[in-house]
Amino acid sequence: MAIKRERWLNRPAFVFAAIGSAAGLGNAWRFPYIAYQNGGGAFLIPFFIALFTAGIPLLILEYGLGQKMQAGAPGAIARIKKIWEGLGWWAVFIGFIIMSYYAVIMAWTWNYIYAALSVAWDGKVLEFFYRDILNSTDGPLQFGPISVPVMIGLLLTWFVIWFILHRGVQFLGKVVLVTVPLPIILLLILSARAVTLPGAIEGLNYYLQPDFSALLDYNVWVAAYSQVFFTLSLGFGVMIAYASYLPRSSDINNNAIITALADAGISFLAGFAVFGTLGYMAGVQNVGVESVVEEGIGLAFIAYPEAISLLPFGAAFFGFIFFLTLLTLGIDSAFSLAESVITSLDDKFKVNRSILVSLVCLFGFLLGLVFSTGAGLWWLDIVDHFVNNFGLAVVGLLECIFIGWVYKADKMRKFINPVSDVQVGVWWDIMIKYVTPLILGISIILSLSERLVVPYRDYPTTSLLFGGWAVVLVLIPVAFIFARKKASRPDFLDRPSD
Amino acid sequence: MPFDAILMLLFGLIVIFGGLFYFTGIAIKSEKKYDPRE
Repeated sequence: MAIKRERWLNRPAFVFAAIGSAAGLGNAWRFPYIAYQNGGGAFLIPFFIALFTAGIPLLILEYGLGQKMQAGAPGAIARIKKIWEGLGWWAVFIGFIIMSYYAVIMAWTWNYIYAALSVAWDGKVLEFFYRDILNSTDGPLQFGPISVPVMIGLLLTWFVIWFILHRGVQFLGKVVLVTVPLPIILLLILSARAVTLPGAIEGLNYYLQPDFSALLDYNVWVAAYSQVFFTLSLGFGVMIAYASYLPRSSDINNNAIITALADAGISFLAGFAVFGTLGYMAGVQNVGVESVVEEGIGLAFIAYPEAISLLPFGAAFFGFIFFLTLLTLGIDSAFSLAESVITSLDDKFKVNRSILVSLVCLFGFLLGLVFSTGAGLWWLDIVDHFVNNFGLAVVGLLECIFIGWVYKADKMRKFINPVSDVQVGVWWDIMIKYVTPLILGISIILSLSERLVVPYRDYPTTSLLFGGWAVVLVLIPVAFIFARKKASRPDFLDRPSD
Repeated sequence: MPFDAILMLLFGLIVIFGGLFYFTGIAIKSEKKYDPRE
């Protein structure tokens, strides 16, 4: 039967939205550090191999699934095998959890954008972040009050997400034409400034000088595959939902390659801004670059602001640009996660889209308040670690098994090739059926064995149980409850005709 | 900057941006395929 569904305005709108979803905070604060830690410039070799043997094949899988079945993750999976529908809901709910704390990081960023105007963190970076912004407590079990600046930023973030999403994917397609190129332009400005600073070359050497002996270490390869998997927004149904708004005859393979390469380009570019600036800071402080290198939150909200306040001129300007870059990088990823939930619910339940968007945004805001308390940073760290390492990786593994073995990879390939600009061969089946599941399986086993032996960052066991294991595991029965629930849309299980 | 670092810089730029230009070129040529009314 013919399915009436909202459509992206044009192909660039979809590609930009997909790039925006894939390119997030991790591109700026994770990739450069992972590269530095795993062989410097030599890391590019396993990274590109992972991109072409796992990242792009999985993106093709998710685009193909959404576009062929014309539904978000749960609907698309249910239309193939109803019994597997829970996997789709699990993926979507994992995305929802990520979205709830991602919005909190956006909230911090709003505060830093405002603070950048007067370089308010100058001379007190640690105090500014932990006390003035977060009002942080000493550990996850001491909640403390909700931080007012974070709550205001959170409200602002959710208002922006609501404003963009409640008008549908056509409007979203127009928004991303601004929010995707903007951080790239800003990163270019930051990189140009960074590489012209004294001492920048020293920092860039740490980023680019290759240590080829690292390629013999399997941990480097696991790091490359994990980086590729996490950077492409795979495993939480976003790409499936986005592709479901494409006409069934749209390209799949070339869109996946362009998305992956653009995402890699943003990561690579971010490394120049990060390592150039850190090299300068190390020079000013007369220490080695290795002693100022940070990743994640520590890089974005402590090390980088400190480096900015040491700039010879324009600290306010470059601080503003840096946090605007983070905000524009993150906001596309944040609303793509929300869109995945909304699409999935909208496919199954007959609810007005505006109401649905408002409800999802309200619920996301309320959940985000947990991460806005004095203990928010600790809970965010715990949930992020477990959801990424176990939730997302397991979903990715099950997705491969589902398409590769249950639906059959060659059947999917026979759909995606005729509509695509470039063709994939039998190698794609092999990647989906054997290589990617094997690598994801190894990565899960390694993380699991490490976690069972050493508790994550010495957090109290109670917080690891509730914030880590319970969050990942409780989502499974919730997903199955949603899967068992009767659809109020009669066409929920109707496969579009070929 | 050491020679091997420059080499890796060029390697990254060529794979990423060379690939992007090549595949975007293919996409631009086949733009006519997209029909939102479908």
